Amino acid sequence: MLRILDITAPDINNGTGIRVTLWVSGCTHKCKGCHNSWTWNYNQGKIFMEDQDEILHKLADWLSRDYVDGITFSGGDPLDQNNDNLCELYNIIKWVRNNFPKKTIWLYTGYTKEEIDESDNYMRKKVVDSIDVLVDGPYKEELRDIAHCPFRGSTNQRIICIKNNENIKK
Amino acid sequence: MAKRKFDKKWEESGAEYVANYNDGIFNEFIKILDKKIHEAKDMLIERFNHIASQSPDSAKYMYENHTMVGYHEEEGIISALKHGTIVIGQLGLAEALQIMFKFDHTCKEGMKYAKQIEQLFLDRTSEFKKEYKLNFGVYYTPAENLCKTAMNNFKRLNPDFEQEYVTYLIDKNGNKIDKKYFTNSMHVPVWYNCDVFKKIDIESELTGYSNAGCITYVELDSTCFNNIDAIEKIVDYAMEHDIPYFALNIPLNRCAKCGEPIYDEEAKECPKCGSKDIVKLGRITGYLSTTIEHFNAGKKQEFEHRVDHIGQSIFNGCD
Repeated sequence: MLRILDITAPDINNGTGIRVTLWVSGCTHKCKGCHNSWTWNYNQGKIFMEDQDEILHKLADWLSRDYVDGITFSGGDPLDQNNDNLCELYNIIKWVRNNFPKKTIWLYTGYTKEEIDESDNYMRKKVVDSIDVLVDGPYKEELRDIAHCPFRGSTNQRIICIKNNENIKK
Repeated sequence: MAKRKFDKKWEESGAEYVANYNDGIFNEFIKILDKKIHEAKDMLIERFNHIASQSPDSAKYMYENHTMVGYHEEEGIISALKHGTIVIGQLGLAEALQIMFKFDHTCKEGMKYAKQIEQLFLDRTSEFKKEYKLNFGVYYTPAENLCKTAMNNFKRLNPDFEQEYVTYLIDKNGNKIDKKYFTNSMHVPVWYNCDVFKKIDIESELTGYSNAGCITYVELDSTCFNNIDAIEKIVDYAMEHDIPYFALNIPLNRCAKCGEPIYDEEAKECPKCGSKDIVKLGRITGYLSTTIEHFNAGKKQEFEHRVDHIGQSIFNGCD
């Protein structure tokens, strides 16, 4: 059961432009110095399937505004989920694509792109293929440098362009 | 995720009933306000005449060197001073509405009454302008000093009066906090959780009534120097919405020792020289400053109560 901790908007710290950020609960990476360690627990937050209407309604309210550039999935780790949760996440992404084709989709994960590509987790790869921008890699406290890494915490983390959405500025 | 400090309890649906109930009080208020605006006008004219009666020697250099536009020696210094602005300042719209209705202009009903109040200010100052041939106006003031003085006097003159959002606030832990300030001009109360766009929406409905100056600011939670797109969109939004003077308050830190700008708001030491002496630069009213020490207790408390207008929770899954 995919669980949602919060939706925050407008957000200007998790991707370019003005965004809506959806915070997914649960993460097993447990990076030292994580500034959101309270989100690690999987057994908190509203169950998406139960509050689906309300959640999508709130997202639609923001995504339909001209000045909003897109949505960001963060957490927790939206990719550090079981197969069912990844399916639910994929459905949310598909819903955004179908209803708001001009909006960009960012996603934060503690996995590296290579780890995702090399693993045999099909659903995880499918989610990554469906987004526009992936911010990858665990947060490494000793590499913290937010001044020179926009939208990231440490220098090992990368912003990877997945889809060539025309609305993405390089 | 933005931190909430205080909650607002009134709802738009309940507002209508209370509003009808208190129309009598509102009409009474408008009458008193009208009288006070006229008193303010009389005081301003008296002050203007006193200043204008001075000899040009009071600022000899300025008059002799034609730094004062419109100065004609034979007419006296009034010829220059009459071009200046004479304003009636205004603060505490939010509290005034709270006292009358138990809600303020952050809801639709409140905005209706707010506009009537501002219309009175605008009408009267426009009339004065015509009648006295002087630049009368209404100025939406932060009242750096008066915000506290006025609250002190209000409490002194109304010793038994206590009301949430006016004389005190209840914080997230249920503690009662004595409020030491009146809210800046017609601003949305500083502690009210709303996003940048909503704040602009609300305040832009009232900026047009000010003919002598106003400001709308929003508090951002990061320096966002890597997200110029976002800043541009926020500024564009303000410009499209009748905000003549717009300010973004962003956290700006700097090393006091080597002067290095520090973009990491959580940094405890300077990344360049390692000094732990980090100066926080911020805007309290009008100008950027490194300390809030020289402000009075009212403005300091107002500064503490401010919330970020970014990253508001629109769906809290953790209730």
